[in-house]
Amino acid sequence: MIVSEKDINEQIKWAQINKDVLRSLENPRKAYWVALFICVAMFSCAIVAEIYQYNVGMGPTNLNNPHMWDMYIASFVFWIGMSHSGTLLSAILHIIHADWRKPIYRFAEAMTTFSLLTAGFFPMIHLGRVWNLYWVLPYVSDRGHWPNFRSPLAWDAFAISTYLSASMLFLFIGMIPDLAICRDNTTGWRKKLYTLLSLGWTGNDRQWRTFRKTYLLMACFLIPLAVSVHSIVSSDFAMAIMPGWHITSFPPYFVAGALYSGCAAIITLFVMLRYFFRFEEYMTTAIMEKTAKLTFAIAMVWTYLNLVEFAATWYGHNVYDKELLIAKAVGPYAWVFWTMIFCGMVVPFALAVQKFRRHMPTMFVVSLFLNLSMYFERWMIVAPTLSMSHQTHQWDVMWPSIIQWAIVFGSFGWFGILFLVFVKVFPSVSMYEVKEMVYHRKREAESDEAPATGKPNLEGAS
Amino acid sequence: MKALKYLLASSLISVFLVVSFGLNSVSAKEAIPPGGSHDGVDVPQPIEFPHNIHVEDNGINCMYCHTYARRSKVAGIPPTSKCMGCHKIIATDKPRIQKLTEYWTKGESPRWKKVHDLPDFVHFTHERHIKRFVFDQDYPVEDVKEICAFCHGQLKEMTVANKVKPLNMGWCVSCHEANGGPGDCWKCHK
Amino acid sequence: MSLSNILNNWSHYRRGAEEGGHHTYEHRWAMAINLDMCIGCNACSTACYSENNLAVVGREKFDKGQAMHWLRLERYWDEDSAEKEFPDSGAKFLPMMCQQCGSATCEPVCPVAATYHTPDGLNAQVYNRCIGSRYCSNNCPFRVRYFNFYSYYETSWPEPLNLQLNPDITVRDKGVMEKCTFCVQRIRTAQDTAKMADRNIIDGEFTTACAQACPTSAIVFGDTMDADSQVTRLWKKHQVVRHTTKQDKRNPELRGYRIFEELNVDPSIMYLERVRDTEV
Repeated sequence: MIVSEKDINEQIKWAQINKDVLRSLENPRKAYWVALFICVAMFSCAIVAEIYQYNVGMGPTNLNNPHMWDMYIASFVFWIGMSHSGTLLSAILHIIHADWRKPIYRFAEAMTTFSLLTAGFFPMIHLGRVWNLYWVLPYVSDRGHWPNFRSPLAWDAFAISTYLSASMLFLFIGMIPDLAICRDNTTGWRKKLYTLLSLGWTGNDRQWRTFRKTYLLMACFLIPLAVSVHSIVSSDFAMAIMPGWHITSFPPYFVAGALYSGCAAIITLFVMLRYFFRFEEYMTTAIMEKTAKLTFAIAMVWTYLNLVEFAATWYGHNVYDKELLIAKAVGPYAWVFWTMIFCGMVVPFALAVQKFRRHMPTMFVVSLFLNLSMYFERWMIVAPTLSMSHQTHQWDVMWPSIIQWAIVFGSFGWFGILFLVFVKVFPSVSMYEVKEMVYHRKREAESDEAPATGKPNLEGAS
Repeated sequence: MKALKYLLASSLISVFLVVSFGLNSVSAKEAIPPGGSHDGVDVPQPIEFPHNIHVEDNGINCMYCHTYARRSKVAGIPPTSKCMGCHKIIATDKPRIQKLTEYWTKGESPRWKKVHDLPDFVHFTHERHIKRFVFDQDYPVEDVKEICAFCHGQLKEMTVANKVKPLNMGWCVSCHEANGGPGDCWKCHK
Repeated sequence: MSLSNILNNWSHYRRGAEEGGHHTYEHRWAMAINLDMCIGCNACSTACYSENNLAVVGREKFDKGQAMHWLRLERYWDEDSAEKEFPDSGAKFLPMMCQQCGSATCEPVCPVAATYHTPDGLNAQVYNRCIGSRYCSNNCPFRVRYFNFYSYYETSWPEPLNLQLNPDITVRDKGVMEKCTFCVQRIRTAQDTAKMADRNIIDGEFTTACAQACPTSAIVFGDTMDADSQVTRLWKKHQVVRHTTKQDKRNPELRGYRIFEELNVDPSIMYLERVRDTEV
């Protein structure tokens, strides 16, 4: 096998790994505070808008009779989609033993949790009477009343809360050995925190065995969960009767879209973390290349599913669906549609070029385009259907108001706050897994030097 | 051992089934009053009307004064003229009656305050309940206060009426289930 | 909900729409609207406003599409209307309100079951259970569900206009979905009256506010479970049947039709097509 480039330098010392990663937890640079301040400012915009909306009602959002849903639901789907990348990288790639994921899965995993925490806000924000939110949960009430188990929104409540708790647990479990390292290298409040969180990890054999099993089990549990969560989110639309929503291929289409936007977001954060924390040693261009290839593959799946949907609508001759498809392409929302098509279907071909894959600033820009396309995709699912549904009398074009923009804008700030705090409190590169990776690479390198007869080290052991 | 476990489990389930079926098939004739109590706050009225004297001591039927109960949704507060029908002659020396007479001569009504106030989104009709529990089962009309007490408590023991039953949805539903009342949300919610 | 209730309901539930749906109907309220008689005067809509405490939102919000008219008069023009002079340009009116579908799309999607199917065949909307997810409205092909985007009770009925409010129906606050109920408060009152007299509801004993206000009697309301009611006779006359996605009429010349029945929503309102003088 010819390895064109090493995805990690196998000569790197374990102590060096600890030192490099722990350095990212030290007192932040000025740029960090600036970034945090910007995020807090963005988040405050959303708080102000939400307080206003809570007091006045949903009116100022510009929502109206045909447009009962808009950016809030689009953002909800967007953030849920983001969360799938972490599961993909950490769980699926873990199970198929793609160990190049090791240096980058931790922040992807954190991204999963935080984007779920962000996504969870949107169904609440978009409710007319958010103070009665708990009615969606099946609690025992003296009224003998249950939620409606036929409603996809009730499924959402179960799916998201399950996914959130599972992914938080997965993130936490995967961090335990690293938290122990942090515990041994810090003082003060951090020491107390890490002592508490590392659950008395000493790194003996028994702990490692249990840890491995738990981790694998959680990974196996998370994969079907991730697929089902986005399928359920897609059934918010697919279960409806509306043209453009009532499509059988929505669950796989949504899962593909979720993985796509998640991978795009990983690339964005990859470049940023690599730059801010000088993680060039760990987040190497080789890993970026692999991530980019993966993203390209998923982008093609998504493109395919999109084209299938268009073709099915076109040849299906459902008059409502067909009218809607035409309206999407040439109607008032056409520029959104074509931006989505261009950024989602054409721009990813940049990922097919090795020169671009290895150039970080290009990748950063490309990933932003992909993210934009994925946001537009979600919005194109929600808004045009409502503006052009069955009843022609109620056709209407509506653009979201500043309240909606502020809250959506602020959700990025909220995500940023969570992420920025996370990377300063917890190691954003998995130390123990990188060590493992270095070790394996070293053994491979040694075995390459030895006569090529399968796996000499294992033979030696037997 | 395993068989015993299964036997135990299945018998428990069947007991549960029998009980829950049994609850529904209670004879429609018998009225089962809802349980539960509530500590209502005192509602100060313009005149401290003594229900106990009227109901217990004098044996006046509830529907003599709350005359719309059997005919309409609301039970109705009697007009001052109805009070004066008796109190022009009876107990005119009592301070409460003098206060009432004062209102009467001024041509005003005392501003009685509502005690059993249901939320605006609830449709409750007195006439249907009176018909179901009194007239339909030939309940002696002179004892109607016992039926009223299902929801209003024992007024014969109170002076000013006080809310002693919860009057919330779970409480209503429990009685509707026990007595075969309508279970449709829109029968009561409006 | 006791276990026996669940078990009973489940056996109802397993039966399909072909066998009359999964409900044992006590009544089946329905309408027949004769578009030939509709003159587009909006009296029905106005009557609905005053009967059902509908908020008057004002011009600005109306323009934004946040109006609350449960019954709206839709105006359509012929496709070639631009080429014709006024009387022939083909204005058509269509009073559009909740169709009280037999298999309504709004019902299964409500997360808290605030909208559900009543034994009268109505799509109930329980305001105080509604949490305002607005999914029902999104899933309504007729788009006849209206959402309280603001609190209107202070602005819409300043004193002394609050005295005109109908006490038999709630004033809805912000964040609640609402829609035409076929004047359920009138139905309940009629039912109570009938039950108090130990009789069945008589056809024509009561009607909805829109039907009552219509100067040309274009709207006929009644119970299709009652074989003799006027609305049943009209449905029969026009050979319109329920539980189908396509009417199979012996006489295709008949004017009766239901809107969007091809979506299998089973609407309860039959419209009678307009006949043009020029066509006759």
